[in-house]
Amino acid sequence: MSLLLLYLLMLKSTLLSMNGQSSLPIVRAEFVTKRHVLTDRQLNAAVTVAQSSPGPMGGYVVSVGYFIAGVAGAVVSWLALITPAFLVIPLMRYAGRRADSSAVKRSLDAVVIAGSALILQTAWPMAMDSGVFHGVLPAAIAAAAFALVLLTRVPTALVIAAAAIIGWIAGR
Amino acid sequence: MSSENAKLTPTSSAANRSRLSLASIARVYFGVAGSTWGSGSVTVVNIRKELVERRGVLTEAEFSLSYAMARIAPGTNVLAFCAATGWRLAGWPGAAAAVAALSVPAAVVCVLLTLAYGRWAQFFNGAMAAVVGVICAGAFLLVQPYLGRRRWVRTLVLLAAALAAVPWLGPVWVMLLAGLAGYFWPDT
Repeated sequence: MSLLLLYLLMLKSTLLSMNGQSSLPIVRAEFVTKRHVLTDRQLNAAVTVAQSSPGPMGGYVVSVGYFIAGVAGAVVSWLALITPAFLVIPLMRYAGRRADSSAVKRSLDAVVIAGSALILQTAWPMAMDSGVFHGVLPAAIAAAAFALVLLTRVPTALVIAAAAIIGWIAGR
Repeated sequence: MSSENAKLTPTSSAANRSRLSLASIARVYFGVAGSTWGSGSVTVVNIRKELVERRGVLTEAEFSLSYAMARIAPGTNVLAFCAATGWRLAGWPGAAAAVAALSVPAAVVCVLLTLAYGRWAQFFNGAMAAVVGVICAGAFLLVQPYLGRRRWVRTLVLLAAALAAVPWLGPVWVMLLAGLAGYFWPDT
């Protein structure tokens, strides 16, 4: 895959997302399902890496880019990640007043909600790949992580680090 | 949002504020970069503390406008927020400095950890299972504010999930159609 195509596909996924993780379904559709240049396991690893790193959640695309095309792929994916951020500037200048429109708010709400449904749908193959449906330990780890993130203020990185250590000990 | 806010330009904020140099902007955003672990909200809070409360180089109105616009802008919200506040401080170069200072260290760490994945894959087995839980929790947290507010929102979640199951439609169209449906949906 050429770097230009990688950048454009990554840009499409980041442009059409309203937050970090909501680009996941598009990234999976493009690189895993359609072009077969990434596996579900690598996508899962990329998300794991991003969750374990400081920085925005959308940073997983950098890791995806690295899996696909090495350091150059990581760089163009980072560029695709930051490019949409600058669209906020014309918005700041010209569209500030329209943001109060209830129709625009409803539309944005609907996109966020649809995005969350798609994120759940994307989580399914990742759960299959990481053995959540085939083993007691992976299922328990996933359930515990879900509860900890939802119900406590424990940092996500700590949850993932603890799960990594538990998985490593269990695998020895 | 007031019309005064909407007319703000990079040089029209509080009169008592002194503009930050690009190096200072980079230092501020680099300094808070490490606080974004899985959520940009901590970063936003830290940038507010640094720029509004401590240094006084950004007004409350500018902060609020930047935050609101970053929520609307496509892409990663926290990066858009950095671009907006950086632009308020020093125009386009300020926006570039802020976004780079926040995202480059994270990208480097990401690449290093991806390299580690190849060598220490056994550590990732448990972590990957945890990420599935984290993703599901994240999706729920995203939709949680809308639950119970309007009944149609729940219907839309179900609709989006059903649409995503249709292979020829794909996620992009699901998002676009959801946005369109939300736009024309009558207020309750």
